[in-house]
Amino acid sequence: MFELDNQWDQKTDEELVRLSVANDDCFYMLMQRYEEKLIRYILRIVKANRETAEDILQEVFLKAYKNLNGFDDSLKFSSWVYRIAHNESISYWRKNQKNVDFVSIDKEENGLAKTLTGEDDTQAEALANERKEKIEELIGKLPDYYQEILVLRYLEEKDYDEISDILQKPIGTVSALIHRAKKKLEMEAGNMNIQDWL
Amino acid sequence: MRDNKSTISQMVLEKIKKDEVKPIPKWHFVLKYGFLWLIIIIFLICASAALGVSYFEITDIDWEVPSFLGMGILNYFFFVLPYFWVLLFLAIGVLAYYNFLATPKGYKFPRYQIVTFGVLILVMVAAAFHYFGTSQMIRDTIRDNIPGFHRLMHNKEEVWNRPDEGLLAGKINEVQNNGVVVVTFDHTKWQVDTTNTDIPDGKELSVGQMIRIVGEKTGDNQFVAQSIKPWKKDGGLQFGPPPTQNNDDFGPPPPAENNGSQTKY
Repeated sequence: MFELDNQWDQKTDEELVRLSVANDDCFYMLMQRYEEKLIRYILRIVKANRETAEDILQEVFLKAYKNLNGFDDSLKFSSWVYRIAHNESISYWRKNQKNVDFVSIDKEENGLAKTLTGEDDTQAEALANERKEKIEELIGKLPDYYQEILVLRYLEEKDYDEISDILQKPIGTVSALIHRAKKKLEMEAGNMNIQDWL
Repeated sequence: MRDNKSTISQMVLEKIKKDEVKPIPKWHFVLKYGFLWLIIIIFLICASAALGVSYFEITDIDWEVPSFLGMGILNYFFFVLPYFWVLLFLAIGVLAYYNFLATPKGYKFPRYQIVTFGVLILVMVAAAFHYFGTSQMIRDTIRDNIPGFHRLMHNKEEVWNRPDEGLLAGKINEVQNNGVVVVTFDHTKWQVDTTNTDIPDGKELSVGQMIRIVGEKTGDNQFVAQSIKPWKKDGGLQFGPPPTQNNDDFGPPPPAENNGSQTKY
């Protein structure tokens, strides 16, 4: 049903956006590319269970599809869709923060490692993922405004330009926030004797 | 728990097809952001106008007045500050700022740059308004056409209508050998003695001129002037040509047979 021509696999996100306006099957390709990444990101922001994150993601994809013609070509599609996911997640969080069933991400579905790694991980990858989990745990202890920027920088591995576009803040502000958040993170890491991991 | 990796993408695609969801047309976004920019431009013009009127009102403050009112300079400044216009300027300026942030690329600019550039534009447009007399026109138009508006503002006319404290202002109704008859803003006639008055050399008082007088009340509707200046500060030493008849500030001209009398009409 959703089998698509292989040639579309070679298209960039931005090319697929242009094609999606006329052909919704192309949008399916885009959704597939971002489904897991965005689920993980939403989970990190709302700290709810996976089903909630999936519900939010559906809204994100629908919103993105409806607003395809408003996509600014000067942005990366990735930044744009992350921005929508961020805004939807924050909006959900604000509406439901009293009712959210808090779930620690590392405990969700056997932890982050399951999401990030496969069964055949090498030892190095396992170590890298262990570090990532520890960093995630540390980030979880910081105030929300530091968490969201550190999640994007270190867990989603976005550069400053992308973070600026996702959070809709000037690059200077992003840079200052990351600097302050890192200091705070280093303090927390120092308390756990893992400052070398940062 | 959904177990298929691409379930959400499939569900969304099915929903798009089933509900015939379509992307919002491009013209909608063009219109939306075009309208946003239009609003920003309107806000900038309004904020500039408010800034221009604020500047006009502040430069129109009579600094010789506080000593007659027994007030300190600072107290007097806060007493006559055009709060309405200043607050209007700030409120519209803030709205313009937030609207700019809502434009697609607004967030990319550091806040200080937006504020600095915005203030620069506002000052330039306000200066143009002031230069072309638009600020005063706006002030007068609003003051004269919105009922009760004058209550929001410091009233220069009221401040200068305090003969007991040595301040008097109005329009010259008649020029006599040793003085003038002035009709004040509350339509009262005053006999003003100008025998020992400081009037710039070569200047003459004439009927129809609007003046402000510093002096002393010597009796009922009798005033001895120490100095006389044009009503408008930007008139400098020029009293200028008489205003056209029926100046709005004065209402109808007084009856001719009452010239020189102290009658209130």
